[in-house]
Amino acid sequence: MKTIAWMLCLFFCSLATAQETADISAAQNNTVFASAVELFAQGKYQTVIDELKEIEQKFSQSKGVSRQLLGFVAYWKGICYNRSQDYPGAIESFDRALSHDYSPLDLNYEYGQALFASEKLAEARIQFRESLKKKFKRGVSLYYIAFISKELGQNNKAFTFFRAIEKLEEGEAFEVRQAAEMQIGDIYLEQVEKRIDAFRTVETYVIPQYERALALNPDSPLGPVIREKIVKLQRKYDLVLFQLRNGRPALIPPYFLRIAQEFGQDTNVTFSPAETTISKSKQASAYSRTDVVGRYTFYVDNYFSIAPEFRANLTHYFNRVPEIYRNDNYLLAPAIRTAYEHTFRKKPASFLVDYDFSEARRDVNAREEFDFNSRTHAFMVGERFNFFSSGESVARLRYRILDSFLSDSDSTSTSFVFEQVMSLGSTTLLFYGSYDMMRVKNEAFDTNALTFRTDLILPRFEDWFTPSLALSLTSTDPINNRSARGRELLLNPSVRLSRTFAQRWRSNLKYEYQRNKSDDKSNFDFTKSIYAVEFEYLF
Amino acid sequence: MTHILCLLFLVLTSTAFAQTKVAMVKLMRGEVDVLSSGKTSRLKVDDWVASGSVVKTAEKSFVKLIFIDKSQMNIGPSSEMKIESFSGKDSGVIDLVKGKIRSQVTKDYLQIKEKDKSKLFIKTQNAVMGIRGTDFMISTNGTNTATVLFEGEVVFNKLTDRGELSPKRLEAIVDSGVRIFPGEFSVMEANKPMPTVPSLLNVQQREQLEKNKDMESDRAPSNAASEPGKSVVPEGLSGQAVSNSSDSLKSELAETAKTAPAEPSASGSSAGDPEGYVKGNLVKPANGSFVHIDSGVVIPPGAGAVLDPNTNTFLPAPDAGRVSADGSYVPPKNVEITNEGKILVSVTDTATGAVVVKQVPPPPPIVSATAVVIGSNAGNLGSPAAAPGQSAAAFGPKPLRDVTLPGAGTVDNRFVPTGGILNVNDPARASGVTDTTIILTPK
Repeated sequence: MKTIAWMLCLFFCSLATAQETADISAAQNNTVFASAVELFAQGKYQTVIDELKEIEQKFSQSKGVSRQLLGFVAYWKGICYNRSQDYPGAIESFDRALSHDYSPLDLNYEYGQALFASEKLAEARIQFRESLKKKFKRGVSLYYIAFISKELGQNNKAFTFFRAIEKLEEGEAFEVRQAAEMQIGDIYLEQVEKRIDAFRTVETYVIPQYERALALNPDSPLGPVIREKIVKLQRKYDLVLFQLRNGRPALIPPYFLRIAQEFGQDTNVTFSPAETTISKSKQASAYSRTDVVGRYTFYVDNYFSIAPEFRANLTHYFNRVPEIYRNDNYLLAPAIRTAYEHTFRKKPASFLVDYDFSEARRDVNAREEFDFNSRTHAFMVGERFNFFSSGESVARLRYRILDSFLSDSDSTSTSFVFEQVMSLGSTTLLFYGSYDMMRVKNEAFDTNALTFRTDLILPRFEDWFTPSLALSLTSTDPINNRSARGRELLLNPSVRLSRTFAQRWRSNLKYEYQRNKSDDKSNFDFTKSIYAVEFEYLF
Repeated sequence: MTHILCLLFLVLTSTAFAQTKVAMVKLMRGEVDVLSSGKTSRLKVDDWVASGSVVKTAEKSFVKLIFIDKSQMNIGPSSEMKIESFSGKDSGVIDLVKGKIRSQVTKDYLQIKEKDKSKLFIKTQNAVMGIRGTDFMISTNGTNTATVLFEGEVVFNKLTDRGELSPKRLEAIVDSGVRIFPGEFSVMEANKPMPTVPSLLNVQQREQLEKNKDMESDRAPSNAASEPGKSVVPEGLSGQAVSNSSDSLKSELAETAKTAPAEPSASGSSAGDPEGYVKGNLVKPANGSFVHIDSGVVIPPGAGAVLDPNTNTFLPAPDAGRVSADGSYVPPKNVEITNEGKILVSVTDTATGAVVVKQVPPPPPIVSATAVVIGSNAGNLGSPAAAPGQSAAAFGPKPLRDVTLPGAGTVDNRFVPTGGILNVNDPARASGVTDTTIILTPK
């Protein structure tokens, strides 16, 4: 009985299959789709949709039309709806095709586009993921996923997907790579613009990212868009006026003016600049220092710049004992800085010639009056160039003449200086090395000194402050007085925490420690700490 | 023998109707007049129209003429057309003074002369078209001329001489013009030395125009894209990058439906650069551009347009406008295009809330990453933007046509409701109104 039942079942099944085959055969007849095919080729999508609707109608009246065929008609209709930009119609059709388990290679991609245009972003992303799984237009599918994530405010996800485009093969990514790099720039910008020091981070991260995108294909249709973004930012944040002939950006605005007011506590007030002896007081005092620096850069034919500069500062100690207030002083220091722009190893380089003048007045006689302390003339030639990929290098040769209120202290000094900037992602390292040979009228004070200094500028911490650390070591060889002073070593670590308020205000908390080791305990050996808070305003 | 009889019939018929009756009114709507031998009369169905007659249609009116060779010519609303000559022997000449004509020239007529010669010429104020095949539309506002071809082939060129020209002279003019293939359009602007290089028309507009043989006026949106949505193109990518070829569909057609995919028509088309270009005097609008038929203004598909490789045309960006059921171009809500070709954009001043209607130059007719969509170039409030090579002053204080206002408010202390029509030619408020800005103060 069972066998008979099975045979009957098999018989009816085969009948059903035969019916389906017959219907498919009918459908496979060219005449069913011929008109739609022709209309589709002409781009008459609305008419094709009408035709396909009629075909669907006929199929619905036939028995046993395969799900594949029904799915195919729905899929084709979806494509036509998409081409007609009727996205609700497309969504419904693709949905129907999928409900028939019909999913050709590009269905998810087309479906994703319809959902994207209908602002159903999360659903669109799912379809583009499916498209990616099918390896259909991988680069563009990935771009859609990343872009949708960005639109949904999921910047971390967006960043990851945009970055993933970089890993695709050139053939898959060439249409989207530049746009992906630009989008990464946009993400940076969105994050950076929330920060107080946006003007700085825009220059450090956002613009270089856009420049990276631009460099991929400067002549692409997207090139002008990226350039416009860069220029807009440069204008918004006063970053660049124009490019010099070697590609180095000129400053905008061309002027720089900084006013700073510092209040601090010095544990051992000393006054060493321009003196051959260190006038250590062994007394602590609070102090105030006002500092103004201004510079205006004139550009001549975009290869030469000349920048007059002026600096003035005034230091006042609050501990009014003669050993302390004799260090009250002010300094006036104009300078002229020039640069000739050229290239070195096909990269921007500048030949530098500077002249600095300074006159310091100090209460040298402890009369609570400013008297002449010293006057200097300094000449410098140097070269700023790009040798290391990590950042710019500067080499300088400086010659300085000092005229002191103590005639024995008149001196000349020759210095070789080398500076190197190293950008390590979000951290910047500055190296400074110098060798100074000072020759004093009283030869007992002649010295040769070697200085190394490293500054480490760390990324902004928790959106609150930017820390920077520095360590300086100076080894001084009193060449004619080694027996009394021995080889001296000045150890000078410091730390600074900076916080920007609004765009132009900045405050700095500073701590500095100095330890000068010398065999001449009474005059040159000392230790001191300085604690200070500083407020700056940049015009 | 049959051929000889036919030819004899044709000669006799044409001789009989020479200088007299060349076309019969088959269908009409509204008011249509004919001016013949200095006499104007109202046309009705089955009336004959003689060679040398001028046919004028009123607003919202239409007439279908069947010519002696069975060619059909549908004359649209507010049109004026003169039949300069029409016979079975020589090429006919039609002068379209203004308005539009949709014509289907019969193949019989086309076969009477050599294949590479025009069988019918249609002149406008600034252009001439030689018809070599069969289904086309031509429209002029008196200064610009636009033509769209649905089937066959036409040649099109600038016309500087407005006198009555012989078919031979007209043939020489169109021969040095542009050749238009099905689905393509070309526009002859008054101030340009040559017509635009033929480009493929927006597929929806082509489809709707082709269907609308009787020039029905239906400004309702066509079925497709009734509501503009978001562009399929994400920011940063081009319409080409996101476009999907029909390869997958074709392979599915072959596999599932066992149907061979159709190959593109071999009759020729501007399959060339779909993005369009401007090279000196040569202007090729992007494939997929819209044409504002009444004025001849070309509206590019916009920066968010997607390339459809199946037709080699761009599908327009959602904010580029859309097509109505009668095939007319419908600009975005804040944009209006006048029949004179002025593009008026309503811009709201965020500070005062005042709406300013500004005249802007047409956007460049190409697709690029920086392409502008119509109306987006209204810019900031202030001095009006001038067309390239045209100073703002060149717009002059000419009277402006009526403007549909985008919101309720007052103009010169007169209340205007939302969507109200502002008659700027109204002498009561003509002073101080220029054709570039109208300030609507919101209520």
